[in-house]
Amino acid sequence: MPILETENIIKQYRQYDHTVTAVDRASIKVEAGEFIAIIGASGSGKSTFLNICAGLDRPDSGSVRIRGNEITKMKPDELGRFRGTFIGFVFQKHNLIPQFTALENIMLPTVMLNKDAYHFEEHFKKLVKALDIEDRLDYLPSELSSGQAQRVALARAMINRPQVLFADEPTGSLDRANADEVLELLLSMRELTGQTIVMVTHDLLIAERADKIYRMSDGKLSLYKDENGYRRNSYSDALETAKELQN
Amino acid sequence: MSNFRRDIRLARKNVFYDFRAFVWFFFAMFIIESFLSCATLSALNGKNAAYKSAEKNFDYHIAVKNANLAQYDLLANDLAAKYESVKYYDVVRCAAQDENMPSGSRCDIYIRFRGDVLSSYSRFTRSFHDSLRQYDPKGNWYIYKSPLLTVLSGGAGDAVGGVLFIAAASVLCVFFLRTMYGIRTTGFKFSYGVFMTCGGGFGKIYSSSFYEMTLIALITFIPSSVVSCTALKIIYSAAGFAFSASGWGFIISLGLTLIVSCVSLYTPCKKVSRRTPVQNLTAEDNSDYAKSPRRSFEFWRVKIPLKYELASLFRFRKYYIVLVAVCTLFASVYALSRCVSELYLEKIALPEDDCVICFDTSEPDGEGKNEAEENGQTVDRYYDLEADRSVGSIEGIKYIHKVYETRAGDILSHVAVDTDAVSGAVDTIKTPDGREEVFNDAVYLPYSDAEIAYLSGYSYDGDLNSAINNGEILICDTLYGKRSFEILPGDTIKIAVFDTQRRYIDPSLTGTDLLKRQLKACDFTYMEYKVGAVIHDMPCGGEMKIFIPEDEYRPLCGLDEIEYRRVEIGYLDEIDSDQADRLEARISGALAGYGNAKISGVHSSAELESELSRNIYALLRITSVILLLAVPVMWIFSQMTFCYKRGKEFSVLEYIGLGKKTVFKLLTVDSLVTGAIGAALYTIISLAGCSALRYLANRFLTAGGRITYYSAAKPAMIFCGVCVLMISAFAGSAAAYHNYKRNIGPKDRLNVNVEFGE
Repeated sequence: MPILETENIIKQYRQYDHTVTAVDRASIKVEAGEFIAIIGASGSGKSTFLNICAGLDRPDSGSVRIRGNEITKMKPDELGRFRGTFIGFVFQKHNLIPQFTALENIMLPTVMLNKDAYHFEEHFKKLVKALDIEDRLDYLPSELSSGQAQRVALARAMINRPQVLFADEPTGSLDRANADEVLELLLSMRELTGQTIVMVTHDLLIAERADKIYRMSDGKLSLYKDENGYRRNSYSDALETAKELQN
Repeated sequence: MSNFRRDIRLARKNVFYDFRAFVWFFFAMFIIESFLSCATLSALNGKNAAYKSAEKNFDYHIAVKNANLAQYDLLANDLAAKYESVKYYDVVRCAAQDENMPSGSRCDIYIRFRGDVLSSYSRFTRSFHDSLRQYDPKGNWYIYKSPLLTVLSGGAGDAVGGVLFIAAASVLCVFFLRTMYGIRTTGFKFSYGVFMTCGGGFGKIYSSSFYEMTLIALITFIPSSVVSCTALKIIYSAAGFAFSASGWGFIISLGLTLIVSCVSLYTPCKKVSRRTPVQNLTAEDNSDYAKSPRRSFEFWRVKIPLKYELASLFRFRKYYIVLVAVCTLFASVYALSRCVSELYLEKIALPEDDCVICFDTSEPDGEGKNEAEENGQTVDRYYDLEADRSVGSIEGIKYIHKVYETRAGDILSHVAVDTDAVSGAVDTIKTPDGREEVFNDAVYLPYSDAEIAYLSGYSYDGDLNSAINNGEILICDTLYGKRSFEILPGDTIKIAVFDTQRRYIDPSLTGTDLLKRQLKACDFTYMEYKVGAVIHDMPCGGEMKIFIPEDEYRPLCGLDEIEYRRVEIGYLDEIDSDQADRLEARISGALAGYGNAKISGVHSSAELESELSRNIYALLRITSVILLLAVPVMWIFSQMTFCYKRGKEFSVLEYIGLGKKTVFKLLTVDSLVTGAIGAALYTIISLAGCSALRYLANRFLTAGGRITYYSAAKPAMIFCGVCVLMISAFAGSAAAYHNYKRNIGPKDRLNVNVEFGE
């Protein structure tokens, strides 16, 4: 059974007097432990699709199943608990709560689910060590560099040992060195926990590290590279994608 | 427990990290706690204060009035009064009714209960009522309850009043806090978005919000308690009441504050939790309004602020409508509370009767009466000339008002006045010649010379003395507190006296239909009366009161004798409580032969009532001011939050050439327009509301037709509310501008999320 399965997701927005289709009948199947990258130009609908997959947004139609659970039909509070238990999310901007220290931000999911902190002690220690933020735990987000803040955000997303980690351009606001570092961390954590990663990115170099690459264009999702490395696109398509991503 | 500690820590961090955003909640909570403390402490202290006040004038709970010696012996020598071990009452004293009366004939026995007063009173009634009646079956003895007892036994009504006041206060507080928190959850939704992403739902959002408010409530609890205690102490001291702040009052008010928080946070938190996390995380961006060609305005011209901001007001109309509506509502509640307090003031100013005599309605028996009189027994009689002479000769009495009235419709009569004389909403019929208006919404009352002092207590035109001496009629020209007749002293009015009925009159007819039919079916003789004086402020309900000399009243109403069943007596102003007690005893003595006369001395209880009303008046005034304070808090907080969201929009304008001062002008236009709309609405609501309150008071709260209310919305009160609204609007914009100016430059600002907390 795929850990994530979407079927004909449609999401439209009303903009002034016309309707924009952000996601147009997007379907995807992700097996447990896979690393999936979604690439596409700005405004192509990839973040919207990722938000829908992670249950942060509701589609207008279509279904999203995680571990066989239909999340689009869940009530808000039920979905919240499900998100906290099985899903981790990393934003492009760290989205840390400014009044909380790094430690408090990391432990936020446990607070939200009323879980005792000591259950996560071992995992927490491993995480902060792997992410190299042990000496920054008492700092406020405003006192952290963007790389450190993003690593704290990563720790927050992973503290509950989620089975699926969604990342929306987690390296988008970082320089090359920091971006590579974060990616390495993500992959090493994946090695550690065996979780599934679905990542939206602009960066083809990062996308190349994924098991599969999907391309989003005008809300339509298509497979760009499968697990065998076979590119299912014509040369011109590939060129166009590269140009889009460069822009 | 550790979860609870973490939740509290989370709330503490939220409150104190962004203290500038939360400081308005400190003000709001201070207002709420002060308001609820005032309501609770006052409700709890009311009975205590009234009892202590009553104790100054009364040392007894009941008085057995007009008792004979046998009754005295029964009460004074009963075991319960004699032996300390079983005592539950003391005979405080026994006073002969009149120093001129032969000793031992009749007396008043004053009794004070021990222990639980109410249960002692009930035991006393059970034990003695039948025996007392047995000893004097026909005597006009009766038990008078002093205010000391009535204050205690009137607890249920007071408690209901107190609970209603607290409930109304709590509803207002819920509305206030709900609106404030609604603004917060819209302006600060980023954190909630993160909470929801991390697995939080409504429960977590609600609990963290509740802990935030609890924390603030605990911090503001002591200052608000001090303020409310001081305010109440001043109010009670001014009214001569004792005030003791009850510990329970503080606990209840804190509990109420938490309940108010609990209720008010529900809707805003529910609203946030129903949004998706993405909706909460994504900040509203108004900057596209500034740059979009479809929505931009001519901001290169000179009239940028006015044009642009008027359009902005329209764009954000939903927000501004809610803001203006809520602030206007609170200002209007202030005005209406002030109006109610003014009504109380009028009630306080009304001269109260000091003694009321009621006569049993059973018919006096002519033969039995003579026989009983011969045997020296008391008999059932009405208040007649003899009683009038006896009571009237007692020194210290200011007026005697004998109450009797006949409705015009009941005796098939009506009144005719000149067409020009009718100015109010009276149901009239025009006579065929069109010169007169005929109506039967009138009440005829008899008067005698002795009534001058009573009638002169009202405001009037004309010479009351000469009118009474000349046997002229007196009329009241107001209906429901509003002048409805243009009749002057010296004018004449006609009163129809029924002669014969020629045709059938349908008994189901009422009002003007009945009058129309009567005019066709009956013959009348019209008596012309000269109006000697016109009384203005006597409450008349919907019927014109016409005072007619007793001699003319009897034939007009077809009476042989006027049977007065109620007499209201007023004492001279200088009469104190002790003298009032003696006067009452003398009146009782003067009416000793009237077996059915029941004399109620209300002098001291009226004074107590007046003090209680003064206390409520002061309480209403203080709470109305507290409510008015909610307006600036809400307006400034709302504007600061909302304009923070518009920061990016202003930055775009600034980036394309507008100065910071122009931004200030934009906000000033905004404040002037919204403030003016709020002030206009407030003025209309206050004027209409005060008129409606006055109308309702005159309709339903005239204390048996004794009071007419004239309170209207006072200009100072309207001006005060208008000023608060305008100043709050301006201060809101100024604070928002100050906030904007203090922030980083437009270029940097365009790149940051406009959401709070980032």
